[in-house]
Amino acid sequence: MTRALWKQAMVWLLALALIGGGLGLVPGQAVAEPRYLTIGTTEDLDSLNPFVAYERASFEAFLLIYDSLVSFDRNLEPQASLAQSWERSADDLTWTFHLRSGVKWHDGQPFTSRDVKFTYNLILETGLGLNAEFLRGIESVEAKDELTVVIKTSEPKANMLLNPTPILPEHLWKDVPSTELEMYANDNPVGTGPFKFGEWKKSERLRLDANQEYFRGPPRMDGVFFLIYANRDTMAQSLLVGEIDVALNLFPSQLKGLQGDPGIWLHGFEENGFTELAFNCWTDPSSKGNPVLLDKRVRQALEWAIDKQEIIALALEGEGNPGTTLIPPTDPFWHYQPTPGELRSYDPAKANALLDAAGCKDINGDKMREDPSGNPLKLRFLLRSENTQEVKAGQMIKSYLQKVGLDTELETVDDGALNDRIFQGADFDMFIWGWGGDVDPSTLLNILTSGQIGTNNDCYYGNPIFDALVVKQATLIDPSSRQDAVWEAQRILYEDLPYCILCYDTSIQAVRKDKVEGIVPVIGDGALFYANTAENYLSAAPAGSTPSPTPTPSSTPTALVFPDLAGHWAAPAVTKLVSLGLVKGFPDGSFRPDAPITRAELVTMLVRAKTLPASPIAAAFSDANGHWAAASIAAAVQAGVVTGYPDGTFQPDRPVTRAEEAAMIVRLEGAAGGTPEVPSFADVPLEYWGFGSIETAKTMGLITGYPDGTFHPDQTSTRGEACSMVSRLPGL
Amino acid sequence: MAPEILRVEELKVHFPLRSSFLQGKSGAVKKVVRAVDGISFSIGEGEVFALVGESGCGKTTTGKAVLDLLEPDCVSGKIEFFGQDLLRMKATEMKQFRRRAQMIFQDPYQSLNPRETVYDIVSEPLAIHRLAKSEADRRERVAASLENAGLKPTEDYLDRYPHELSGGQRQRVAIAAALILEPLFLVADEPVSMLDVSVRADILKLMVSLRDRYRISYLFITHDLALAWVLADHAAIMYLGKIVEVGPAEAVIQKPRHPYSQALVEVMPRSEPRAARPRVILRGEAPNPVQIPSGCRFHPRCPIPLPRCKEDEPALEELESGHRAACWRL
Amino acid sequence: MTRRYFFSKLFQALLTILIILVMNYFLFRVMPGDPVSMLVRNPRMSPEATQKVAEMFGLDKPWYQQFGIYLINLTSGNLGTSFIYKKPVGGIIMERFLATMLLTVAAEALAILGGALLGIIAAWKRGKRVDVAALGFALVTYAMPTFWLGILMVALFAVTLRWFPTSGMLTPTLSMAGFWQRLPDTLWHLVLPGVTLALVLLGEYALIMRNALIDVLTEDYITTARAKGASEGRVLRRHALPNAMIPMVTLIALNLGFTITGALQVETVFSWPGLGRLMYDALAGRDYPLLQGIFLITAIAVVGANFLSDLTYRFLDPRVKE
Repeated sequence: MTRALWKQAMVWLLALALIGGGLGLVPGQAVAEPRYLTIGTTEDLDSLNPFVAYERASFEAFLLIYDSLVSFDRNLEPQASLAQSWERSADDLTWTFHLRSGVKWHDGQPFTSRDVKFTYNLILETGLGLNAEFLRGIESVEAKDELTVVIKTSEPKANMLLNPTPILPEHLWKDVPSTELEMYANDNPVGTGPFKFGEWKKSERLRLDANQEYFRGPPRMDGVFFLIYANRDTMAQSLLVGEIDVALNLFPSQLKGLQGDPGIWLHGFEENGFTELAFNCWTDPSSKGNPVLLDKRVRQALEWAIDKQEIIALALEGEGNPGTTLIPPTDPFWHYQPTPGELRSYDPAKANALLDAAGCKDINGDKMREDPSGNPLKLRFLLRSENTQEVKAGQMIKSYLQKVGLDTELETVDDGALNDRIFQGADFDMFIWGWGGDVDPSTLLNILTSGQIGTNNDCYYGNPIFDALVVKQATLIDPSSRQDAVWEAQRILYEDLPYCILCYDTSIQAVRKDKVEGIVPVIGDGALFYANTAENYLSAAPAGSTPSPTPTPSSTPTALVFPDLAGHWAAPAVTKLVSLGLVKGFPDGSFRPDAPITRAELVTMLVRAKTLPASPIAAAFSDANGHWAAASIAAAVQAGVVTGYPDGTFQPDRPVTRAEEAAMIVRLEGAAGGTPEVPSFADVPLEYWGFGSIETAKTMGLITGYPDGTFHPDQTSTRGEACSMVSRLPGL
Repeated sequence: MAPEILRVEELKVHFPLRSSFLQGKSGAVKKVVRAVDGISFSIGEGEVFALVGESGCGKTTTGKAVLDLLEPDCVSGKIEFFGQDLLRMKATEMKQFRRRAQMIFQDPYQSLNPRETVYDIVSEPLAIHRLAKSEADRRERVAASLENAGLKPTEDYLDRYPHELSGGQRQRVAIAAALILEPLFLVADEPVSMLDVSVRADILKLMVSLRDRYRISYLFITHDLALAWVLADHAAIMYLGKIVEVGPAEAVIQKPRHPYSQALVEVMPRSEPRAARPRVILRGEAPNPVQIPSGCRFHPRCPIPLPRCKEDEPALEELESGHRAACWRL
Repeated sequence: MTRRYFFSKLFQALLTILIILVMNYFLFRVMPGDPVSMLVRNPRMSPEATQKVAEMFGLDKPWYQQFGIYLINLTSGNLGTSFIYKKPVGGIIMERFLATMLLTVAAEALAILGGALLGIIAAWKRGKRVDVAALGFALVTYAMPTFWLGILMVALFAVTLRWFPTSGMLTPTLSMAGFWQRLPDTLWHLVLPGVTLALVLLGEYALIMRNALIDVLTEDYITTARAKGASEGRVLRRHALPNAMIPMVTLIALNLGFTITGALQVETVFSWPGLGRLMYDALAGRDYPLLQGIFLITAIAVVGANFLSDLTYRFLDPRVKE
């Protein structure tokens, strides 16, 4: 090309670049940049329609857009949501829910009991959606008045309060014919939840905007972005660079690159899910499965033959814990731990013994066993092609089985093909897949009931005793009786072994704690997100945004300064503490009396209340240095008011429970109270760890409890409650 | 004696054979094709100088070398055009040179850009040298040149593409394109060998008439001695990169002295009864310019070699006035 | 170029598309996996409801009827309803189409320009070090696995140098901003995936251009042009390149079809929301209508590109018979 042409081209390119750059600099609206919690994930929603959705990403979104009657708090205990309170009739068959007043749908319409009635009836009528299971046993749903719903069940319903069914707006859904329900896209979902729907671009992102009128107070961030990544490595890089605040579902191979960055918190935890080796247990003659597997001795033998630890170490890169019974131990209450006599571990000798006993011997000397009739034995083992870890595990299992003389034939197929093989004639012998559970144990137990053969029951297990037990446990409202039943059900499964649970899944979630704070693991060390609760979405805030440590005493009456205190029961206490300079509001002018109080906030309040001396040494917690409350924390620790956790953390942004709060205050006062023989509160028994401090606090008049005689010791305390308690301290 | 247009002294053209990367690195001697290995001749104004030989003897290479169309690294020696050394000319002088010396190729199809019309092809030289004062002027000149080349009526031809023309017509277009610059010297490389016999005469007649009208000199390259006999004033016979016989065309062709020339002449068609002459029959295969025989290059094929021919290479010896040959037998 | 030529080529193109349509339709029916079971994700659906869904998608009718319906729908622009998304296929494809077009066009343009330039330099300086270097570069990028190159680009330019974003098409916070603010942001996001894809394609173009040009440069008319006094630049521009372009045009047209879906690897690394990923998801989900739609669009693109290249030939080479 001639020089002249080159010159021309250069000029054009330069011009284009300048224009482009200039446009970028053109200020749009001169508004402060909104701050969204940006979460990177590889899982995308499949649908915004709760009747159709299958992927858990969709259900996480529903958790944020919609509310249920009762939701889960940070300890996965039921907490009031759209239902403010509830009663159960004496015969346990009638539930009365009292709904919160003043709740509005995102489009401004008022929320009433009719919405609840409509939603539940629609689900009961059509049986559509994964939530239909949760409503099993409900006979009728009536709206007694605008704010009261009465639900009658045929049998006592144990999981009534563990039901995450989102409540849908009647006025928007009533015109969708039930035959077209599954085709309804629900492109613009309207709920009552903490986040409003913004935008969903499939395979790109989901945007949810904060609902400023949320009845629990608005989320501390302006919204949430879920960014969908097609590739985990890129997602990890994205986190490293700071394009996202949170990365979910990382693999161990990405960890190395992230470990060097001190601003990144890598949180590994056990999930409520497992990976299993499933056996074809169908007794029907039309089954194409190998009948040898119908003998439970053979199935048990396979479990003895497999070294789960090694599989986890090699195929899963160390991510996972060896599995035993159906319900994962993330919920220690429901999980059944086999007795030492029942437990099967890795022992090829026992495997061999069982296989011999079952009649599978090596007749022709080729080191491989034949079946009891003498025919060659080859088990068809299907693996899911899209999960490389499962495929590796399958290959390892093949070699373990070979060592005990069992011949298997591996086949790697995609999910669609696997589904077909399973559900069309049961044309398989074994496969590897996984399940995720809910807080309610019924979800996992139901899978293996004979009624689910052909739908969820992919191993075709049918045991009438087990079926009966599953039905029964759903009706046992008393926790301890229910536990017995659930344990027994698991014991039966462990004995019959339709699923050999290879491992309980673990997962890794990462947070840039230098960009966001207020995110705390569920139940001590569980998940941060995808945790069946929306708490972290509510409490997440930009780093360093909590109220500054030096409060300025305000002379203006609190009620004027904090609009959200108007009419609030804690207003007088808050006013007192604010005027004393013990606590401050938020930069946006709110006080948020119903928001959870964090350990750091409470400690700061107490330190100031008692003007505890500053500590010369910084507290030795891995997560307290650099925190805005570091000084107060150090002082409090020195005074013996509070300690850290065994793992060396302080978890300053973790919300405080009422029991913890009582304990702190009692230590602050250096008081030791009497320990009456009869507990003052129905839910604080003698064995409870905080029994002593709660009783002391009651004696000191610092706490009262609820009208029904309970204290709710494990419930998260709110800022209002904390102020109320602190304001009663002697000397204030 | 006509003024000298072109004078060539000890022209050598050596092409390096592509050696592999490793060969070059190891210092192995690079193979070289000695296409032209030291020739000298001169051409006067209005003269037709024929360069005759088999394929591979270096005649086409000579033609290109004389017009500076080869890689400069390969060419050594002296090429003087109107007294100026071609190989040392500056760019502006070069451009002038291009106006005065042009080339016509053997394959009339390959030498014309198949994407261009006749008008484009013939007018391009004008554009390159910015000779036309206006569009109209350009059209005039193109038409004139086409007429000169015998393509009438010119309007019919202007918008045609080469593939729409016959061989003879294409060659005329090539000639027109060469003529439009009003050159003084033309190198014609086998200009008619790819044309039908019936057409050849016309083209040759055209070339002769141009020489007569415009006093153009030709370096006429051919393998066909009969053509040289018809057209040339002077002739040189080349073999494997060297001139083995040179002189006035009549002398060289009627009374060839070098065994090679004699063999060539032998195969010429003639109408006269043959004079008694030793029959010279060539043996062996066509020569390979990569492996040049020692001594006299012709000795492997010579019907009458002497022992000396294998050792020493003979130089051109003057036999009669202007007629020289290189052979130990003379 | 005559009208006859134009219309005859057009007719050929349309005929090809029709044949593709037919093959396309039946090819998917042969795939294993019952679409109804994939369609009906809900394992607890009653047989009646399942039947209704089958009816809705016309899966209960005999195959020739289904095909007839499909053709009729096509003429009105209805490409069917996606099994996965429960929305019209046309709409879904169009959403991704823009993203794919951006990436493909940018990468192809860069690759053609870059590859041609490289090929020209290599051919012009044949045998010299520049040629060897250029050739080497072309071969290396041609042989490089796309995925690996993409990850490398991210690691270098997005993470280490922080010049460009790691992935996606838009900075999330700008998704609510106006068009003129989103445009430069999208272009900024386009750089890494575009350059990655361009590098992968570039090698082929460079090699073809180099070979074609070397061939052309040995032709007599090049020597003629030089003899006439044409500068090297003029020789290249007017004589050599236009003739060397012919094989390039063929290659470009052939490549275009593959590039659209072949950009899958790049789309995966950079989470670029294009048709490649869409096709992968549709495949995994046995989404017949969506797959058919994507294949149809791709086929039209390939046929269209070839049609355009046929037209271009006439301009480039007058020797092409009518």
